[in-house]
Amino acid sequence: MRTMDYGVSTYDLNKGDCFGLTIGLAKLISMCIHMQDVAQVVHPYLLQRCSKSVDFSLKCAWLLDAYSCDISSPSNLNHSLSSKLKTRIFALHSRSMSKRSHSRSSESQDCDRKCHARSRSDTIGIQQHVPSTYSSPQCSLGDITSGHAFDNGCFCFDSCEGRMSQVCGRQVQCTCNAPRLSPQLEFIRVLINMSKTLASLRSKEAKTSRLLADLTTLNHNLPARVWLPLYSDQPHHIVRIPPSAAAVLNSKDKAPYIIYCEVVLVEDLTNSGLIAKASSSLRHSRSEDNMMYSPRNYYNVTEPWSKKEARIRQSSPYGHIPSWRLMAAIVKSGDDLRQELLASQLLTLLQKIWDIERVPLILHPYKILCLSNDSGLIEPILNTVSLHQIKKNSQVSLLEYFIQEFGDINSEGFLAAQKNFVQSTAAYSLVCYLLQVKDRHNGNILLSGEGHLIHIDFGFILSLSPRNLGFETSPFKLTLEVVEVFGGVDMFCYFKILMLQGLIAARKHMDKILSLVEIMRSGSQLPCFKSGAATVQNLKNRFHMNLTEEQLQVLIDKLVDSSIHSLSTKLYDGFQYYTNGIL
Amino acid sequence: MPEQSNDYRVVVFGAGGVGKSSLVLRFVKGTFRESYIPTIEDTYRQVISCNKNICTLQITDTTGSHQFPAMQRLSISKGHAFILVYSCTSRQSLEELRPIWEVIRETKGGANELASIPIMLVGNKCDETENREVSAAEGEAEAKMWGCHFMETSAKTNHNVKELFAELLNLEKNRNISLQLEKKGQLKGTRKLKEKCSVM
Repeated sequence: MRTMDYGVSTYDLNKGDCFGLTIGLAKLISMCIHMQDVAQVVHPYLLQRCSKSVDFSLKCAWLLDAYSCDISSPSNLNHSLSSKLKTRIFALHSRSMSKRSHSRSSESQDCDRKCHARSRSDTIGIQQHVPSTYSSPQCSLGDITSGHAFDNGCFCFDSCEGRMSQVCGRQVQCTCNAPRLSPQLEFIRVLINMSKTLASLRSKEAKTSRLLADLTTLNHNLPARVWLPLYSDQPHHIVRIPPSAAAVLNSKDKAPYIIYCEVVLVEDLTNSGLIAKASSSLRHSRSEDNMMYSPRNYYNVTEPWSKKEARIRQSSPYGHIPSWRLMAAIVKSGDDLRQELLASQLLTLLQKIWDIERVPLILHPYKILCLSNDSGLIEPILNTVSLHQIKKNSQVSLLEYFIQEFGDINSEGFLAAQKNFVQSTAAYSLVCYLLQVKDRHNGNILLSGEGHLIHIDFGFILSLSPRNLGFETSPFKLTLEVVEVFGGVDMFCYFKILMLQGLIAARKHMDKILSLVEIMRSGSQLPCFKSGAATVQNLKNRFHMNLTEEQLQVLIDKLVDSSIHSLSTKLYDGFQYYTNGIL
Repeated sequence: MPEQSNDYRVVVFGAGGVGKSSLVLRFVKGTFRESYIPTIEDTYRQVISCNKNICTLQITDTTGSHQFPAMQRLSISKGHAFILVYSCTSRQSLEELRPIWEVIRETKGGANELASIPIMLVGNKCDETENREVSAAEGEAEAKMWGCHFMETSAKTNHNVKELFAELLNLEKNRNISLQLEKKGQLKGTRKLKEKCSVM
């Protein structure tokens, strides 16, 4: 087993197969921690990637934190290996910078000697005056009341030279020894701590006003060289977090909250200058006053994203900047998100498989960032509303809601939404069956603005179900109301054909799915693996390798039938209504 | 009414087994397979030029062996151009096109609007001379009655396949569409780069 994984990893690293993207950092890190022989191959690779990117380094560090907590004894060899890796990553960013700056200046001097470029020699002249050692007496990292909580004291961008270069459109390199990782680390720490504080408060009102106050204080420290790691594929700096747009989300004993961050896209996370802080001009303060939204109304889930973005942009002092964007994230603490991460990886993998096999099934995996074993960031799915909200607010059946939203049954809008609905329902039905996703109440099922059904909350998968009631015994959740939207025999038939094709395609690529689960399971204490090796075996059994395609069709028919007629689904919805008030 | 989007959508209809997928696959991938695998619905995309810009040609290969009226209505209402395929070896398959033609006519409105929509009646498998049931003249006459254009093809021998799609796009009078694409090399280059993403 080990040698096989070893082979896989070197192959992946050197070549990057078509599934390269889904291998994911988490899988690599997990292998790194639990398999010593793999670690030796992967460490140099990771370090090399880390040396190039601050964002990558931080992600590695967080994952190392999250995944190494399962190792019981700290004296364990693997543990020391992973902590050594972490130290090396951090060391990389204090050492490499000074080294790089030296090599850079010598390089440019060489170049200068050869080509006698006047402007070059001028820059170097200035550079010699810049103190090469970083010193910041009033360093207040992490103290959000200071207004400089995310300021590592780097002057490279504010110096004469830095400004000149920026004006000329040249890239500035940070050459001082300011700790490059610290601002972002502090920023994330502050976000998590806020969630922890909120959890200790009792009433929702208290939580909401505390969140508002905390974010207002936090804003004094922005803009800063901090970003949402969920969206680091679009490098950006956060300039402001409008406090009144944020909201505490419903949860019993924890306090996840959603923030909307105003960001400005930059070329490079570390080597781009910061936007100057907008002074609260008259225009700005007036627009703030004009906002009559109470925080409650402000967080309107059904408000289309584009509208929200336009509204916030208009009232923002940074809104005029062309590369201004709005990005949202859910901050959660008190929950282990590693299982969500596993689900997200599996969903991404399944979607890839179906794309390759040309099966039109639609999943919507969302990004997860584990910051430790009990905190993290979640990408909110935009423009969605949960089935629970539909039922509560509109009090009509799902089909009637579709007609309201998308138009008459024969209109193009309705037909397109219906097709999306069938394709996504089939996809998630397969996922629910294969991964044994439980806790499927209507609060965990969303509907997108285009009619896609989207499942969220993968806290109960594989061998785990909530409170171990064993309540939901049906293969997946398929209510009559959902079937009603299918509209008739033909789309219902299409639904079953899609499920069959999807299962056949998934079965063809079963190895990839199993190996991902196996790697993430190794040495893991995650509750979804509490049945141990049997978890993987059971998963494998659900692919039914021994059945012919005709037999699979019979199986799908049976699964769909028993799901529709499942009493337990109805019971579970009733149970959720009585215990959590979810319709 | 389909909006003037950056997609140009062509929908292929016809009875089961007349060679819809074969035609599309021959055009898109240049391949042909003898075995018959019923299609549910499949969409292929290709970059073409439209009004001197690049746009996506989206070819929807529909099912001939299942009845999905809702999906049929949707693809008709979203489609910009249509290919109606029958097999020269089966008169039945030509007759089965008539109801589809009716739905297109109903969905796309009056005779004037219909005339501006590129529709091609296609007799496929024209290489199978021994089993022929429908002559080219008969096909032509049928097309005239329906007010659409006509062509005989063979996906197997690659006869008239590229011509079919070129001619269909040529019929579109609202935009200037063609299969030719300048800067083809460049596009390919950027695509390759994208595929080389690493671990993240």
